[in-house]
Amino acid sequence: MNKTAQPTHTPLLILGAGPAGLAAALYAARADLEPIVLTGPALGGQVSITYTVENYPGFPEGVEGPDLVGRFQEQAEKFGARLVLDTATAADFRRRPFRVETTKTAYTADAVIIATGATAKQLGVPGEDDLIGMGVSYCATCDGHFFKGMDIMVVGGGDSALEEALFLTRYASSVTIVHRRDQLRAGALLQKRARSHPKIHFLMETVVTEILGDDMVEGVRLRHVVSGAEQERPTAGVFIFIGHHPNTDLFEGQIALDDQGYILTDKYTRTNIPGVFAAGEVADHRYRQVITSAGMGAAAAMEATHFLEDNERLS
Amino acid sequence: MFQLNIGGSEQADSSKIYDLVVVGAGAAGLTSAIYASRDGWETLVLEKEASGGLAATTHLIENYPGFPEGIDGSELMEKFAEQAKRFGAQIVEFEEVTGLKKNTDGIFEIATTGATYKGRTVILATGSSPKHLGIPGEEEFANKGVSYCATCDGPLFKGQDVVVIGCGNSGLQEAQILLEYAKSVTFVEFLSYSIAEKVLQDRVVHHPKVKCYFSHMAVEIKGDDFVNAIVIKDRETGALKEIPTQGVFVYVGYRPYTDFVKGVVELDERGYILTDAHMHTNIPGVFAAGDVRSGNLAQVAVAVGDGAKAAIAVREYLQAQEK
Repeated sequence: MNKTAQPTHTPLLILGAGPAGLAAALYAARADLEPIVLTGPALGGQVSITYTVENYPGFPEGVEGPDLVGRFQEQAEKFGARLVLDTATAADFRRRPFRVETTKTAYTADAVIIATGATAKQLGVPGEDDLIGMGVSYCATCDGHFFKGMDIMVVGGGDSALEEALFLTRYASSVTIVHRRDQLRAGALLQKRARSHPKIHFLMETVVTEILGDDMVEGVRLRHVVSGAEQERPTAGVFIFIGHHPNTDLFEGQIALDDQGYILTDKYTRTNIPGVFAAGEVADHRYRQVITSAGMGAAAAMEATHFLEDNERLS
Repeated sequence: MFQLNIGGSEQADSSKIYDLVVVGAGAAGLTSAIYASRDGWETLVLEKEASGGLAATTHLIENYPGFPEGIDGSELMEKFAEQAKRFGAQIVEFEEVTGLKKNTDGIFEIATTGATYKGRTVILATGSSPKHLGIPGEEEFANKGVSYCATCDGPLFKGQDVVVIGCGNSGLQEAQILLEYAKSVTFVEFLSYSIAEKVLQDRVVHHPKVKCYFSHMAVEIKGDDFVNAIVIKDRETGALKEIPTQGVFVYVGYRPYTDFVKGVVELDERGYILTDAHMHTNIPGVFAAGDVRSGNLAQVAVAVGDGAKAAIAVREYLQAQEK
C-alpha cells in the first residue's frame, strides 16, 4: 500500500510464526528487544493444522496443534512481542539495517531471525491443483474425517506418508499407499505397523500420472514405473506426502542454502550473514518436531541478543 | 515381600537388555524417554535423586514455550515423567550410575549403586550441578544457611536478610522467590554488570528490597551454629566488607556431571561431553543430551530439543542394527 512511507524500525524482526518463530519471539521479548513477528500467510505454521501433538513434552494427555500454537503466541505477546499479520515479499540483507518489504509496508531491522518453515510438495500432475480441497489433500489431520468409510490413497514412502496413512485408517475403510520405488524409506517400526495393518495396501513402483474427477476426486491414473503399464483406479481421496519445500525463495542469492533450498546454519543458528539467524524447518529437514523447532527458536533469539549487545558495545 | 516402588510402574529388570538406557531424569533425559518409548523401544531411565533434574528446582519457568502463565519447575517435570511413563518408559530413582562399559557383543553395561543394567544404546543426560565457591565456611555451613537452591530453601528465610552470590540468569531467576520471603536480598557479582536477561534485571535489580555489589567477590562465610555474616572484597580497591546475613545462596555457574564416564566418553576441557550436532558421542551407541553436552545453552527448551534429537539418533542406530 503506502510503500513510500518511512519503514518501521525494530531491533529484531522475526519472519514466521510457527513454533520456531514464536519461541524466538518469547525469548527475544524477555530480553527486552520488543521483536516484531511477521506471521506470513499461515500463523502457527504447520503444527496449527495438526490434530493432536502427543510428543511435545509437558502435555501428558497430548495437546491439539492449534491450542499449542495459541499458547506459544499468548506467551510471546505477554512479554512484549508484537505479531503482525503480514507477509514479507522482499528482503535486502546487503545493507544495514536490513530491510524487509511486505505486502503492506516495510521494516528495517538490526537483526533478523528467519523462521518461515516449509510447505508440502505437490505432485505436479493434471487434476491436482483443480481438486485441492475436493479430495486432494496434504494434511491428513485436517481432512481425514471427510473420508469416513471411503477408499483413499496415500502417495509417498517416507515416515510422514506411513504415519499419516496409519492415522487415516481411523476414518477410511482402506488406505492404498502408492510409492514410486520398490522399497519404502520409512523407519522399520513404522513399516512393520503399516504392513501388518489390515486396512493398508501397497502399490509399489507405481506413480500417479493424473487425478481424475470433475467436482470431486473420483479416481487416479497410475503407471507402473518398470512395465509402463497404465491403469485407472477409483478413489475418493488422494493424500500427498512426498516431502516439503523450504520457504526460502525470498532469500536466494543472499543467504547460503543447501542443494534442497534449506538455509545453512552453524550450530548457533547463524547464517552466512552476521545478524541473520535461522530456526525451525526452514533450516532443518531432519527433525521437524515442534520441540526441536522451538529449541532452535530459543537458541536463535539468544544468539540474536548477543549479536545486538555486541553491536551496541562497538557502536 | 513389601517393595518400595518409587518411580516406574514396575520393577526395573537387571537381566533384561533394554533398547535404551537413559542416564538422568531431567528435562533432556525425560524427553528422550518420551520419544523413544513412543517409538516402541523398551526404555529405562536411571536417576540418582528424585526425577526432575535442575529444572525441578526452578521456582517458576516462564520461558518454556506452551505455558503462558509460567509453570513451577517441579510440576513441569512431573508432567514430563508422566508422559514418558504413559508410553511405557520405566523410571528408577535414587540409583546413581557409577560406570559405563561396552561389552564385546556391543551391549552396554550400566552399573549403578543398586544393580547393573544392560542396554543396546545409552543416552547420557546427567546435566550439571551448581559450582561451589571454595571459600572458608562454605562447606562448614552447608545446609546451615548456605544453599544452592532458592526454590528448595527460600521459604526457610522468611523475614531474614539473605545474600545471593552471582547476578547471572540463574541468580536473578532464583532471587525472585527469595524476594517473596526474605526481608532483604543483597547480590554480590564478580563482574561489573549483570549478564542476565533484561526482564529479570528490571524485575530484580531495581526491586526496593535489593542491594547489589558489582565487581565484588565473596571471600569467607562466617557463623556459629548457623551463618551470620559474609565477607566480600571489592575487586578494584581490595577493600573488605562484612555483611550480616542469615543465608547465602550460591549461583556461580555449574559443573557437568560426568565423572563416571571420564576416560570412556570424550569430554571437553571443562568436563562437558563432546557431541556432533546429532548428539552422537565418540562411542557409537552412546549419545548425550541437555546441559551435560559441550556448548549447551542451559535452557530447558533447548535441552528438551536435544532430548528429542538424541532419541531420534537412537532410533536410527537401532534400526540400522536390525537390518
